Amino acid sequence: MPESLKAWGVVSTHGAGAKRLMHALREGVCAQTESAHDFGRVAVPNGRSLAFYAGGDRSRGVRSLLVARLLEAWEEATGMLTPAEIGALRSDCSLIFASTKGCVEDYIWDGESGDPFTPVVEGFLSAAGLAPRYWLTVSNACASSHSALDLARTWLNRGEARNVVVIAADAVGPFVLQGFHSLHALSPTLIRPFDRNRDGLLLGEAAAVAILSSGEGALRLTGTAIDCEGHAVTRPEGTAASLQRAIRAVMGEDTVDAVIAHGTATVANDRAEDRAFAAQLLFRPWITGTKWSVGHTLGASGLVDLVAAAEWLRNGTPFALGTFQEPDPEFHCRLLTPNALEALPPNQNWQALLVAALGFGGVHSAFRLERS
Amino acid sequence: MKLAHFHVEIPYPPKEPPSWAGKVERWYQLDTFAFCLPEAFVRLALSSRPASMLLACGGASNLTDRAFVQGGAVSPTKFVHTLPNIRSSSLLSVMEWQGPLLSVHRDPFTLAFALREACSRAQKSAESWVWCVDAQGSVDLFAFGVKSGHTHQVSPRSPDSSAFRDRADVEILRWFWDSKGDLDMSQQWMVRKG
Repeated sequence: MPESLKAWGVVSTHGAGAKRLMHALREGVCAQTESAHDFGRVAVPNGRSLAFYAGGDRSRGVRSLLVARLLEAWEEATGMLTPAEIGALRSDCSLIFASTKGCVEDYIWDGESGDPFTPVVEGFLSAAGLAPRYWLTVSNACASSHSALDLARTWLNRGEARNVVVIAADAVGPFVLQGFHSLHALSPTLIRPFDRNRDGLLLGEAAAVAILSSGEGALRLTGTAIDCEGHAVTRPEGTAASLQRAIRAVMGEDTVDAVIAHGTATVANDRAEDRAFAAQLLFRPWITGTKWSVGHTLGASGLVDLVAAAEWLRNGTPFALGTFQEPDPEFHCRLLTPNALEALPPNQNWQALLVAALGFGGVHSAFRLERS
Repeated sequence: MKLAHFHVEIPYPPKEPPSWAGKVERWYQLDTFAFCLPEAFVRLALSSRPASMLLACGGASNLTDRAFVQGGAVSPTKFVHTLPNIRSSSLLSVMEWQGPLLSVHRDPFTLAFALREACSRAQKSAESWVWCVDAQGSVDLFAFGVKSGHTHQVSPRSPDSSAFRDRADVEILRWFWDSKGDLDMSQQWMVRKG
């Protein structure tokens, strides 16, 4: 039985709602130019290296912030369902939370013993009035959302759940921001994925919700895969063999029209993705991404990309790598640049998309979403 | 279905380079968790390999996170370990294994829920392992679906408490065992002490 994507919702750097996300992606809005924040507890070099969602009340802590954003995304998602579907969901669902750090920024400075995810899930369940039969958190670095989707498909395939709610959220505080600064991973200029002059990533914040069900639907999640390897903690192996295995497992003999790449704009990650796509996707689909616009939203980034992919397929609204400037002569992929987007035929039929992700610790993953 | 349980205590910090030092970049920078997992794997000398693995560490990476912050939050070598799944990276290098690995959490029942998931995976004839490591260097491996090896049988409703370190572990395992009806585990359970 197929796994369908029934509904989705998102709160991103650009505000609440998939419409805002897609507007920014379509219009080439990069949140990097809007950043400014005072973290209070530590002096953090900020400048242009952080894009964060200005909404929400941080004074009550990260847990409260994440729960509030998840609730907004949940309301958007359930707004896509009929009352009968909502009733079925409330009576029979399981839930997976995808996150890298949860609400750890609330207590990392003072000490706490429990995992930083459970308080967020419990807060969300209480606020949403949801009582899943079973729930679990998956924290697989920046591939957490992909890993959660893979686990959701596993549960649906095993018949353990008829509906799985996947929620994802991460926030950026001084701990995370200072950490990425210590790695020299943040762009000091402008985030430009797959660009010759790319010089690092842009951090962002997001919360998203996806509701998956067994059975037919307008959009189907036809493949998911996780492949982990132990080459190095922070960079993929040179041939991107692990990402290639994940893509191969997802694709089989299928094709896709475009790929939403992880596209962090770090030198090594973009190179690995280019190599994997060139080796595995010989039909040369368009390559694009979202992080140039919304920033890297860590564990939530895969679900943000799922929402973008769903909107693209449902409405026929592709988006380009909006900050792309200069091709990298090393790369072989067919990038969907702003110029290439303008040249596309207006009524192109978009049938299927691939979404890729890489995470620290050697996690590589992909999923394929298609119109039924 | 067979479940093999292994328990190893790893001294940390090590007094000399581990036998696998050549397989892991800057092994001497690994924290307790990331060091003890591959060392436990080598000491157990297991011949089989799983189809999937789960990492089940209560408290996620809180201790590593705090060490980074207390050091002034400036060390990139400490920051890269501040994710709960990262500690498996050295293990995968030493195992020379690739495949699906999930770092799962639901304190205070993280281990129990990881066991449940591994159990379900193994019922499709795919061996699934659950690793658990703590800050004292205690490593537990639960291997579901093992096809061979020396095992001894225990009653499904009374886990062999001598196989586990303390009361909390026994309670978690008993809770897991007691839920067998819900998990549809009709087969005998086999437990092997490491």
